[in-house]
Order: sequence, then structure tokens, then C-alpha cells
Amino acid sequence: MPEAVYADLSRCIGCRACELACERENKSSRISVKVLSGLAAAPVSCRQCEIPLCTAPCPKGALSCENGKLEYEAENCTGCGLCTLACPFGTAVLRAGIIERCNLCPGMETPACVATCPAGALIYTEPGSLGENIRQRRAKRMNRALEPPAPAGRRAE
Amino acid sequence: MKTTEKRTLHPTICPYCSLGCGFFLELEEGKAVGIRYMPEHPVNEGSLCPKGNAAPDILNHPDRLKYPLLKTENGWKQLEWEEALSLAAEKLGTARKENGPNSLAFLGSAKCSNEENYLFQKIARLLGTSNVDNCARLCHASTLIGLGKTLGAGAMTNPLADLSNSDCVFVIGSNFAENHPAVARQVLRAKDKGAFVIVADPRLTPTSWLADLTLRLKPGTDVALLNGMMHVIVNEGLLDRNFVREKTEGFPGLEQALQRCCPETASRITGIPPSEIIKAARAYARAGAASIVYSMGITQHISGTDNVTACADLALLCGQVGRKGAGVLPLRGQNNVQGACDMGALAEFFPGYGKVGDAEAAGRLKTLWKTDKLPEKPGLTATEIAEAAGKGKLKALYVMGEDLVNSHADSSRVREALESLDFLVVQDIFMTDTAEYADLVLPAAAWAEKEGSFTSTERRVQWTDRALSPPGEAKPDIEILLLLAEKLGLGLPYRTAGDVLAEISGAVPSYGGMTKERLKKGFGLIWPCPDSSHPGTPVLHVGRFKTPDGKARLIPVEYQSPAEIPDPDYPFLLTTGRVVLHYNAGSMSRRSKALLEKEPGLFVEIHPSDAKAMEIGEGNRLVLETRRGKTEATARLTGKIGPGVLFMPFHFPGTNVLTGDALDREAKIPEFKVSACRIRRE
Repeated sequence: MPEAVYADLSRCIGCRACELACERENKSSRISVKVLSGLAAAPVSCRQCEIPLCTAPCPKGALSCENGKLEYEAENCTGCGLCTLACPFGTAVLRAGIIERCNLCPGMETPACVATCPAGALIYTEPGSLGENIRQRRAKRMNRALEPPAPAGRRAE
Repeated sequence: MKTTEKRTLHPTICPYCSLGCGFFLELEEGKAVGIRYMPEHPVNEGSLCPKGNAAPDILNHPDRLKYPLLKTENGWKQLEWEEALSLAAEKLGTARKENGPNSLAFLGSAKCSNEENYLFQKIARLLGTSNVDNCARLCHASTLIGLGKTLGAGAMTNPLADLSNSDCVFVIGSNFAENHPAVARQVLRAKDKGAFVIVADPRLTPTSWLADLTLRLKPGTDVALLNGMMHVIVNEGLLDRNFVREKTEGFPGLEQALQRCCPETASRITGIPPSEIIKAARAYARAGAASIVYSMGITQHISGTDNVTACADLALLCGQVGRKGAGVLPLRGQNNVQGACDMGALAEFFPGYGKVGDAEAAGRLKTLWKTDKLPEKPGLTATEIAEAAGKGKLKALYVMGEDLVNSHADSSRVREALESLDFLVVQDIFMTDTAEYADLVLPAAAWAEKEGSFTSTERRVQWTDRALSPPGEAKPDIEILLLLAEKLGLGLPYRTAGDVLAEISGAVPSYGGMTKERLKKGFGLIWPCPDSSHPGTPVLHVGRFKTPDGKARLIPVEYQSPAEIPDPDYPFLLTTGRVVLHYNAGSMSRRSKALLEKEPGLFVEIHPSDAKAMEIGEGNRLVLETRRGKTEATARLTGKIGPGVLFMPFHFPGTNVLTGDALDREAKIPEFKVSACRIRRE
């Protein structure tokens, strides 16, 4: 599975630092934070799909995918917008006739959004490892909950 | 964008909040063009909040003040520095000669460096007045007093990173996820290790999202909640008896006072079910190491000092101070508000918290400053300065980097007060609403355009070098102050910020071992650092407290209701606070295009049931009115606040038109957090 920017929703505080960082690095933000039911915040950016649906309807082949790598040739783009309709996540944005999507900040070790995240909620990884991280954290917390409480007044210095 | 060869990286400290996050400014041909993160920095570990990400916008902004400006009948007139400073010195001198030194007042800046604030208060005091204060009066004055009288030092006890070692984090009156976002990573780290997080706040905030238990109390009832928790702890024997016996004084008094504060009583006042108060009390007291994190939800009340005292009592009762992961952590506001206070830019304190009026403290300073006269009485506080100006008791006011029109409560009165001054100098980086009232405006350099040290909320003193030049003829505040001092005939013997720091290390004992060279190495030093070989003190109160006998004081406090409670004329309770995309009075954040686009204007949160009853829809324009004034805002319907409560951010000029100026009796901080208010659709 390809690497992409994932968000741990239990950690995201909805501060939108990722949007600001992306905007500074790429002129416009390719990640956007949606706040759901008042508190839960969900940052969404290109999923770097293995079989990207956005390429399928492209009439002139401006958006194509080879060996799992998405290529975009602006000169062939007609600006028809079919790709933005095709993306199931709404992360391909047509702005002034050009497709803007997350390209994982080439040239930087970590994408800017991940590097800036104050809560450490954004992760640049391949999706296989995500579940394991969460399982381990949960297990640790449960283990702690099973410990007897420390007797008050007699704690170790 | 890649870093090309033409670009250089310059390490700096974020100018926004008090966390002291580090990052690199990316420079090209003397202009700030970007940011690179600094993963090795111990506070933010490379991360930055939205405001930090937008920090370079301040440096390149077209609105920056570039020349000294004099107000004339035909608008602003550009002046030469020489002329401007002579005028300032002459006006201050005349007012002093004709009406005495106490007709002058000085407002320092928690945005300026330690050296600048030290110099600023020194100038004020050498001129013979202690009317010098800073905006800490509006955010954490109650912390200085409340923690001072209980623990012996009015500052955060443990560093931020130490939060990750807590087994229980009790957050009360702080929305750190929005106001100090990098704190979230430490709290989440503690949670990953199994910590229990309690968030007490009248609103549901992004901080509540991280909580295991949320306590939604009525605004202004914090003391009742804390007393209720302490009642449970004492009654169930969860207190740390050894700690209380060996390291504190005053337990019998506290125990007696707490008898009246059972969870049921606390529940009636706070609106929190008794079972949740009990649950919170047990979780906090039983934790191996527990921290209390608080901020302006605690301090900005007429009971601010009492609220802080109750927080300290709770920590002391459970022995949750002076250890790894156990402490009391007030999250302060400005990037150098801790430093401005340490430097004595406070009406009642000399540098290093020697009390004005204490002969010994004055004596030490007289020797150091080689003067035989210093003010003997505490001066006017920031809030009292505005009041005195309004009554015509002040003739001249010198404001360095502070927008009191927007930051003080009851801003219509502040505007009137500024108009009644004979002479107002404002030294700032932008033409703020306060500067518009000035007779003389002096253009200052922003943080990265000068050198100096800044003290973060965790007492970490960090040095920043100058990265680029200020725009136009703007000068670093320190240069302006030194030139002014010369014109005033004070003859101060420094040339650079380093020289001033050398004197500070003599005047402020906890800065005794700090030099420019030491601060530049690594990531600064955490005070107290009394001598040149001392490594700094990340955790305070280990073994003994900073009181004369080394014991902390348990001081009972009683709940008192806010100064203004809703009534039939003003049926809503208006509370104020911050949002993540803006900063304080907004003179910086509202000038960042990226930030303003995302949060463009003043809004008011209202509960859907209230909105329905008043036929208010999302996005309607509302007129809000209190006994002080009225303002307009856009309605946002949300169940995140309780019925009958309204919330407004204070980053826009409209908000503080409404807030009241009832003061805490000890700390003199205004009650920004509770006002009675009425609303109607426009």
C-alpha cells in the first residue's frame, strides 16, 4: 500500500496548523480540516490511492498513474473538473484551471502538515501499520486501568 | 518550495504565545520568506500551531510602522528620530516637573524582551514613579499573588514536557488545545501511558476532546468545584498526610473550612453532578503523579486570586507538587509575560519580586543602580492607570507594545481615558487602535529584528539573535529606550542587550547565572539559575518551598459569586476567550491574510435552545448589549456552551466594549469572564 498522510482522529484538536503550513509551502492548502458534530476534527488530504479514481475520467490523460505514482501534466489539462467529481474524498481541487492535490511535499523529509501538527495527530505512513499502533496504545491503557490505585499518602518519591 | 542556496536559516522563538516554541526563519535577500521546523526543540519538538506558521506575515507586512509620527491637525506628520525623542523627553519632563513623577505612567510589554522591560521599568523608577505595569495584570496577576502566597513563587512549577509523566492531568479554565496547542502533544503522550485527563470548563472545547472526564461548570464557580473536590479528598482520607504534616502549614484551618463544602453543595453551585465531582477528586488524589493545568478561566475573575489559591491548596493537600509529573502549571499568555514580570514591570514589584515599599529590596536596588532615591510606594496597576487617566490624574502615558483599547475591559472608558491625557506616546510595530489615540507614535522592531532574551511560561529563558532589519526607520525597543534615557538625562551605561542582561543577573537572583553566551547554548536556561555554574531548575519546590521557612501555606478560600450575574434586564451570561486562529487583541493575527481568511470576524456562540426561543438562525447578525456598551456579532449556534451562556472571542475590537471592570481585590485583574448581557437580532 502506498504511503500517505493519515490522521488519528482521537488526537486531532482541529487547530488547522496543517492547512496553514500547506498553504505556506504550496501557495494553497491541499489538506482541509472538517469539524464534525462540534468537536471531532478530521483532516482530509489526498489518499494517494493505489488505483486512483481521479485519473479514470480524464479525457486527455493529463492525470495518469504509473507504477503507483500519480502524474499530472498541466499542459494537457482542460480544466473540465471530472477528476474532482471522481475523487471519493473530494481532495482533488480545481483551482484556476489547475489540479491541486497533495504531493507529499517532495524535497522535504516529512510533509509540512505532518511536521507542524502540534498534537502529533498526523502520521505519514502506509496504512497497514495504523491499526497496530492504535491497538498497542489501547492495550497499554487497559493494562494501566487494571493496576490497583496507589495508596494515597504513601507514594514513592 | 525547496530551500535553495540563496536562502539561509535563522533559529528563532515564536512571537505569539508563552510556550517559547523554536523554529527556523527562512531568509532570502534580507526578507523572511518561509519557515523550517526545529524537531530538536524541547518544547514544541518541531511542531507549530497555525499562528506560529503564520508568524513571518508580521515581518513582511505593509502596515508596519516605518517612521516616527506626530499627530497634527492635518493628520500624521513624519518626524526624524532626534526630533521625536526630544519631544517625548520634553513632554515627560514637563509633566514630571509640574505635576510630580506620579503624573506619569508607563505600560511595558509582555511582547518585548527581558532587557527592554528591565530598562523600561528602570527608566520609570529613576524618574520617580512606580506607575509601571504590563498586561500580566489582565491575564495572570492572580497567579503571581495566589501561587506566591501558597507555594512561594508565582510561576509554573514544572516544565511542559514533564506533563507527559503525569498519571492524571486536571485541566481547569484552560483551553490549551486552542491557545497553547503544543501542550496537547504532551498531554496525549501522558494519555498514551495511561493518564486520566479531566477538563473542567463551562464550554466543550477542543481540549475537552482529549478528556476522559469533562466537568461543565457554570462560569465563575471554580472555587466551589475545587472546594468540593478537597472535601471529598479529606473526608475519604485520600490526602497525603505525610506531605501535609511535613511540608505545609495551615491544614486545620483548611479542614474546618472544607466541612461546609460537600459535593452536594458544590453541585448546586457549579451545576456538575456530585458523582462527577467525587470521581474527579478520587482520580486526582489517587494518581501517582498529578498535574493541574490552568489558565485565564481561573485567573480572570473577581475571585481570580482565590481560584488560584484553591488550585494550589488541592495540589498541596494531595502532595502533588515538587516531583516529576506533579505540579501546578499556569499557562501564561504572551511570549514574554513571565519575563516582563520577573523584570519588575509591575506596579508593586521591583525586578526579582522585591516588594516596592520594602526597604531592604529598595536598598539593594539603590546600590546596583547607584541612585539614592526610588519610589517608596507601589504604583498604579495597568487597570488603575487607565482609570486614573480618565479622572485626569495622569498627565502623560508611555505605552510600549500594548493595545489597551482592545485588551482592557470596558474599552469605551479606556478610549475616554486616553483622550483625557495631555501626552500619549505609543511605541509599537503597527498602528493599533491605541496608537490612533497617541500624540507621538514610535516605530519599533518586531521580535526577529532585534536581539534579546525571552522567558517562556515554563520559566525557560531563551536568547534570540537579530535575523533581519526592521522596516524603514523602525528601531529595536531597546535602542529607542536608551536614546530616550539619554534625552531624559538618566545616563544609562549600556550599549547592547547583553550589557543589560549582565545587570539583570545582578538585580534578579533567579537570573544570577545567566549570560548571553549561556542562554545561546542549547535551548536556554530554566530559572532559578542563581550562579554561573548552575544548570537551571526545571522542577520547583523539590524538598522545600520558596517561602522563608520552606513550608507551603494551605489557605482556605470561600466561593463568591461573580460581580455581575444575569438578571431580567440582562438575562445572558457572557464569557470571553480565545480561538486558535487569532491572538489576544489581534493586532498581529488579524493582519495575517491566511489566519484572517479562516476566522474573518467577530462571532458569538449561543445555545440552540436560546436561539430557537429568540428566533435566531446561524449567521444572523446580533446586537449584544451590556451595562458598558453594545456591539455586533454573527451568531453561531452550538451546544458546546450551556443554555443562557454566550461566548465571544476577544481578538476583535467589539468584545471588550462589553466586558466589565470589576476587579479582583488582591490582584486587581478584571473579571473578563463573566458579564450580564442581552441580545437582539439586528
